[in-house]
Amino acid sequence: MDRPDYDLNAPEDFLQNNRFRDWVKHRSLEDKIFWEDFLNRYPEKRPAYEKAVAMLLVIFGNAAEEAQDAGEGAGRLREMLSAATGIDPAETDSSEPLPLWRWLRWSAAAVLVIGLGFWWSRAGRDSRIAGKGIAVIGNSASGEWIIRENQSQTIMLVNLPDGSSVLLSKGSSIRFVKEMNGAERDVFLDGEGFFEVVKNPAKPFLVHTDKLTTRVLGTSFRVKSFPGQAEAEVAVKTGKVAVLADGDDAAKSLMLYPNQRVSLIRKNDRLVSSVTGPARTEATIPIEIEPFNFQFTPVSEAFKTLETHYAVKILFDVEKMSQCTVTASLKDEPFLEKVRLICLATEASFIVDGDIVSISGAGCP
Amino acid sequence: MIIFINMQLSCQVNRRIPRLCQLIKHCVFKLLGNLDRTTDDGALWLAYRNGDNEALGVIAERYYGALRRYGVKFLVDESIVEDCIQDLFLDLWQNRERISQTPSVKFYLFKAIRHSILGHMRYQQRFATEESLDWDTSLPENFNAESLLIEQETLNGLVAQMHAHMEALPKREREALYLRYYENMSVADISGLMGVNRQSVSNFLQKGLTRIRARWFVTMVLNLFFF
Repeated sequence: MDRPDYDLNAPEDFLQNNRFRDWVKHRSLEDKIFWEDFLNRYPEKRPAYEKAVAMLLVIFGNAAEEAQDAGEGAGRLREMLSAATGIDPAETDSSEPLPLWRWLRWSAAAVLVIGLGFWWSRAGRDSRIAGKGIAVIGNSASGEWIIRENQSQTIMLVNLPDGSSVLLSKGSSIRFVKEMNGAERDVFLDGEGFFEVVKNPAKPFLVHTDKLTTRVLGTSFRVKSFPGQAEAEVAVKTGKVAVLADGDDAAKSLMLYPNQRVSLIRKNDRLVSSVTGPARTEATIPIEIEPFNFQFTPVSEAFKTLETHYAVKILFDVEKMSQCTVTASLKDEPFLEKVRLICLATEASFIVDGDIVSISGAGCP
Repeated sequence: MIIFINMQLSCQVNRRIPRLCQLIKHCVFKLLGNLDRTTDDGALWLAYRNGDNEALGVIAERYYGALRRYGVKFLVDESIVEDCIQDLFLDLWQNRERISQTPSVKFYLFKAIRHSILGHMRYQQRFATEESLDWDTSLPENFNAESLLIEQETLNGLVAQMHAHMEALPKREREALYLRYYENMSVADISGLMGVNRQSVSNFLQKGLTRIRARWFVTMVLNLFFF
């Protein structure tokens, strides 16, 4: 609460006083009368008053006089927002090209997302793909399970129903429910996988292995736990993750931050001796240290980077898109999100079919 | 994550298809009504999360000026601050279903804009940290002293001295002083915003003020002796 005015002595007392700060900020007539009266009643307090005014003016800096001219920008922002849903109360025509265009961009994104969803639902139903390492198993309780196994000699990209992506190392497999609409996003991993998880604080993402469970909200990290091997490992690229050894209670979970790593070794049937350290070891896979930082990078190069790290084939018209460049930092976006954002920036669209991504765009001027 | 789109290009494309934009715009309807400039933040936030675009518009209008002032203080280009604010609100709109209720909308927005400006700096220079965030201490060209019931010359002198002391303070202390005394934020909010604990915010504020005052006395004494 503000002190009574007779109790204002040092400049700091004035600073703590809401009425005083409001007065220096807005200089309303009502306050002017109050402070004029105050200075007349307590002339001895004038030096402190003056110092406090000077202090406030310096603390406010430029803001003191700038307070008024924000109206125009706010108006523009509001216009843009209403363009974002298509509500335009004034029904003016396109005098402001940007908002409409922005709106169109997002709607294009929506169409893409819906398209992707459609693709997912189709991909899930289509059990013919099972020959390529996918198996669909019926499960009456929680929907269909999908199992993907990497039998090849290189890495394999798996896109999860929530949009997250996993890079499976050779000899590894992953299992998840087709819809992923439970309270948590659970995946079960045998072997090694690098995860880039879509951020969703409402739905934690859990990677279960035979030795440990890793719990995150949205980030990128690698989990390694081959059945039959004594050691398990988790390394974090971005964000933070909680690691819980099998059999421990949740309170004992270990928090890991970017560039940290933990190894658990099974001894006498119990997981002991956790070693934490820098994430970089000989086990590190290339994507863990790739920043995906593009600055006016030709789109062909950006796609090349994605092809290398995700072991996919990206098809696009080299000639048409030769003028397109990408400027973006996509460090922990899942694979599909990376492709989507690059397409947004270059005004292209894309279709994913297995490990082949086809991009079509009119090109950039 | 930052994506920059070639503005010129967007305008060109847009000119070709304004009819389409108009058409789609008319197909979307407003969900909730009865909101105006007097509705409080919490109610607006709730309405916005339920899909009311107007409500977010009112919030945007209410905080645009404050966010812009705060952003520009980090000595980032005005147009970049404006872009950050624009992106922030577009993101809010896009993610409305995933955003939770917040006890302080103002705190939420300030934290977001600070984060996105830091993100912008990281994008420009790889290893930008909290420390790379600058803080502007420049003064308005001419402040009207009479309107503050002080003689112009007296105030000019006081402000000049104060200004010199202020510039000697660490940047984060200057930011804390601004948030506390210009934006009327609580110590708790400031600590959440700047990512430091409460005690150090109190220390910032306390130290900032005492240091200014201590230097003040030194100058006064020196003035007495030498002038």
